[in-house]
Amino acid sequence: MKLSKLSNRFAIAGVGYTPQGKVPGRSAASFYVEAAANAIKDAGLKKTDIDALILYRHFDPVGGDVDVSAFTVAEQLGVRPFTISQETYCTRTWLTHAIGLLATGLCRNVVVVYGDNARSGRRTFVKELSNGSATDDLAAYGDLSTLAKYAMLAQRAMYEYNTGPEVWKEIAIAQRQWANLNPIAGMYSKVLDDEGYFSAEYVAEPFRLLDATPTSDGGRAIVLTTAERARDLPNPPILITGFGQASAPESPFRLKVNDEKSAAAVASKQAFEMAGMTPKDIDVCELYDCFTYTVESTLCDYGFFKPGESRDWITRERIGPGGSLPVNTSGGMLSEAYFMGLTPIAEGVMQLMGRCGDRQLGTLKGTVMPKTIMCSDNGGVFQSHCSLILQRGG
Amino acid sequence: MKSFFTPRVVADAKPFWQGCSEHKLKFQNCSACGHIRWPASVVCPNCLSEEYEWKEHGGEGTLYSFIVFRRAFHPSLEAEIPYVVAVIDLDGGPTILAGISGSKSEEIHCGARVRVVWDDDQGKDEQVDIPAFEMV
Repeated sequence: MKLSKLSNRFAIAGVGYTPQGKVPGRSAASFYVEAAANAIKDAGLKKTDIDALILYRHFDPVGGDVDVSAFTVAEQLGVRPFTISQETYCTRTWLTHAIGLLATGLCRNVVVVYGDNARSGRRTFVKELSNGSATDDLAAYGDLSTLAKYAMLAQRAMYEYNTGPEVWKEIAIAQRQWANLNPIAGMYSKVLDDEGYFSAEYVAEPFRLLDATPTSDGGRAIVLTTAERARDLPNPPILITGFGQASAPESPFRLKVNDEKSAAAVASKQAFEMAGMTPKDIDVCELYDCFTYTVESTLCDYGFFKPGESRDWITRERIGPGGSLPVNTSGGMLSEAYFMGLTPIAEGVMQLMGRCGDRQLGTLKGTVMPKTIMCSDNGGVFQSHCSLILQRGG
Repeated sequence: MKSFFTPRVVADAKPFWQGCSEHKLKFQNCSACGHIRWPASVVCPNCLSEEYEWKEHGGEGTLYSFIVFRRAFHPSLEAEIPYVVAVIDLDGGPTILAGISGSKSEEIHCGARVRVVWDDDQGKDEQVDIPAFEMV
């Protein structure tokens, strides 16, 4: 199939938010349900219009909470969709799942949702141990946490491409400057400068605490539908001009930084091809930023700069407020809140809809209203990837 | 060196861990294409052949990357901090996780030539042996 046939045929019609940050006393399920309900209302739909409900990956419950399943969320929304699903791991199949359902006509309106009480429940992302016992063979080496896997590749990139904390601090600080314009961002009132970044403690060197995204309570959801149907709904349709999907499922310790077929490289190539675009056509990037280095590696894999150029290319002046290529304008997961790929994608949609308040591009001094926004979603440790090129439809 | 935790060993990988207890680095060598694989599997990820033999590796390689844990992700590791976890590209493959012996963290660098070393210390005998490497 010629990928361009799929361009601008599907759209995001609504976004759902919840209270976020530190929101104690709530179940993870409640955030899923509230986010999904708000997305359905935002899209101008009735709950009975929803014929597919897709949950992001499953996590074990924390803080005495109970397990969340797609059954739970559908039940509490009072819906009986054609299909309901939930990923077990971060394989990031939601996008192609939704597109397939819409393209075949099996479904008309798909809700994709994520929620967690990760902050109040103190989720650790250390899956190598359970109650102090190893769940696999990685714990034998002391290789604990998702953070450590990303840090391992970041260390290699320092060696191979002359990157490092001097580059990553630009990402952390630029995103913090965006968060300072976003009242719902976790770091809204916290200014960050060079000294603040470098004084943060090392967690797994070369990563400091501020290279990592904090956990959040809350949820986020989007509604996907066909472009044709979206034109009849209240919000301006946000068209999926290009999308791509790829996986690189090797164990993280076997991944290499100089991989021309990394999941991000392959997925973005598909998206650019579908849209008939190159990085030069992109006005804004909203990128999955579990760690600062993830932003760097994604921009490089997408072709915004060549390997080895990040030290010159990534500056707060370029990617921060007023810069020529705004990146993660909500503050991103690093400084706004962590809702997996729905943090960057929701922000891309909201910017194109013109609903971003003080940080709205085109309103904020020194910025222009974007036509085209590149979003990314990343799963595992660079092991699965979605790219989306979004544009506002007429 | 002794492992930080007793690993939960998948059945396919038992000969690897048995090799470690004998201070030998053993991997499956594909009988059809010669590919040396890790993680352990019933088929070769290069050619899908089911024929293989566990063979000892010479234990030399190049340090691909490493991290220095400065925070204990479990209370039992607080006394170990800081400790290093490395990724080693063994000559002829495969790539494995490993500890590093005999060097301070600031002396370790990517691209270093390394060779496997085993620790005879029996002080933590509930734990199993894991491969560690020293810079050559």
